[in-house]
Amino acid sequence: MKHLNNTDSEKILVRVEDLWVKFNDHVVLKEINLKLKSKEILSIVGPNGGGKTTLIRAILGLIKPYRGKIEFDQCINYRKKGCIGYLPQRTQYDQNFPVNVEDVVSMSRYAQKGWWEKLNSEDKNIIFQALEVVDMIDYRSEHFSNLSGGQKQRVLIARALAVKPEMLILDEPSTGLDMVAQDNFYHLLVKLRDQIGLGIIMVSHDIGSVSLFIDRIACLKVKIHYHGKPENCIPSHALEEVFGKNVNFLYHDKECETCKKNHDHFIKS
Amino acid sequence: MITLLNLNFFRNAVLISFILSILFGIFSFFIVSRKMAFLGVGISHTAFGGVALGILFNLNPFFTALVFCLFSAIIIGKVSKYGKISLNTSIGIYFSFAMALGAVLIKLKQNYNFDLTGYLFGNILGIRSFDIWTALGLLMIFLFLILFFFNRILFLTFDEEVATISGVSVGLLDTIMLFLLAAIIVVSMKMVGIILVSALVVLPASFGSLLSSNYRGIIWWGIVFNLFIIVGGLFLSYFLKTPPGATMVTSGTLIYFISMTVKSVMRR
Repeated sequence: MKHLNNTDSEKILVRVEDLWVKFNDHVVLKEINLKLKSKEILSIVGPNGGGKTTLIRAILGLIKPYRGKIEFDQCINYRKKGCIGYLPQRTQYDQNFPVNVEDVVSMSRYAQKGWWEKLNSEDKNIIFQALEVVDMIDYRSEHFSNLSGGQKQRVLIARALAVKPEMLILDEPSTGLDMVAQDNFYHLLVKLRDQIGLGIIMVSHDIGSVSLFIDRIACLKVKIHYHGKPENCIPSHALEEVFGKNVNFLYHDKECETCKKNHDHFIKS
Repeated sequence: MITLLNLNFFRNAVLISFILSILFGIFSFFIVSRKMAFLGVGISHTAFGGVALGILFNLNPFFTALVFCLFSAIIIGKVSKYGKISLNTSIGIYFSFAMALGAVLIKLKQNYNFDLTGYLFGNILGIRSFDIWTALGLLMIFLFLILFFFNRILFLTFDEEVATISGVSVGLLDTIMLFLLAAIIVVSMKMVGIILVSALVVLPASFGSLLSSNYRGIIWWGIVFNLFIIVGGLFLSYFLKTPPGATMVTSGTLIYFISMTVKSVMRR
């Protein structure tokens, strides 16, 4: 892997330059330029089949790019200690696996140790802290399959935190959560950004509610059509290119009036 | 009973039963959790092709079956990956091929003097001390792996991708587990038989998960269940004068179904 030379105070965790991904001569991603700084939440939005999951899988090293480069900051010792925390899509793991909450978080701690080592008190502390941050410490002996969707997501975030990452990558974390659970989940991400200083990449197809919590947004459909701050109103041509013409968006921006942050749900068309 | 244990062949069979109970008890959990039960069926039936190769070329069928099963395990994986078909489809294609090949090879060898039914359905008279030592060796390797790598294997069983990203050598551990599974199946071939051995891959964890909802419980109950049906089935088969493998699988499946029924009645 390539490392970045970060000199200024603003730490870039990962930089993607001119990334192309092909599956059997079919271009899935092209000309992708993207970066993630520490203490920042970047959301990648776009339609199904737009290449969101492919992009994060390329960043995680699970698929080989056709062209382009992905560079990480020195602090990310990729696939080793202190690596990237990852939350997969909910269909990727067995929802009824016979383990309890603490077992789930311990797994990623074990992966950080040598094969001959057992978990020591420091590891136990890391596991407890991770469960405390996500507010699941009271459920540590609970069976994983008994938890609600939102609670499972929190436990898996704790598992990701137990590798002591600098960066989190989340694939569609809000899918299947109700409005309240979604809102709680986004607040948790803000807390992780502000208190631990994590850089977070979150893939989402929910462009509306996500814009309140995030720092930057990237609209992806094969290419990146917009990459910038969500407050600066995503240009309507970018939304059209990504999602198509006949879609209305419930969308928060500066002109919103009645929301908590003086926001309303502004309909773009 | 004591006179029975004085019989050399029976003592060997009891010893190997104990070893297999532990091996299958633990293995079963990982195979069933990954929904790879059919892999056990595939690898065991493939052993028939290996045994036939051994008969044809006058080699030790144990070794030809082992090598053939290891290759098959790899080929099944590759066909599924590069042919872009599911693992089950790949196994379905391959295992019938291996059995057909076996039948053709055996026909090529004129007037063979070989207990084929013994290999298909199990025959404890065929067990030699060589089998015991191989089984013991496998048990040692497996216990070493479980002792030091259990949590990594648990992680990759639960969530392969996140395990990879967190630093678990998924590919290597998977290959080792696959090789061990093939070896255990070949070792149990003589006692339980090629056709029936896959039941021992599936039944223990299925029974265990009736009694426990935690992986530790499932594995322990799986071992207890195995001791009961493999060791118990061996004695039963002696007194009933029935084939051992068939006795084990029949009684094990009956116990599983009865437990399942009792559990669902109690839940109401």
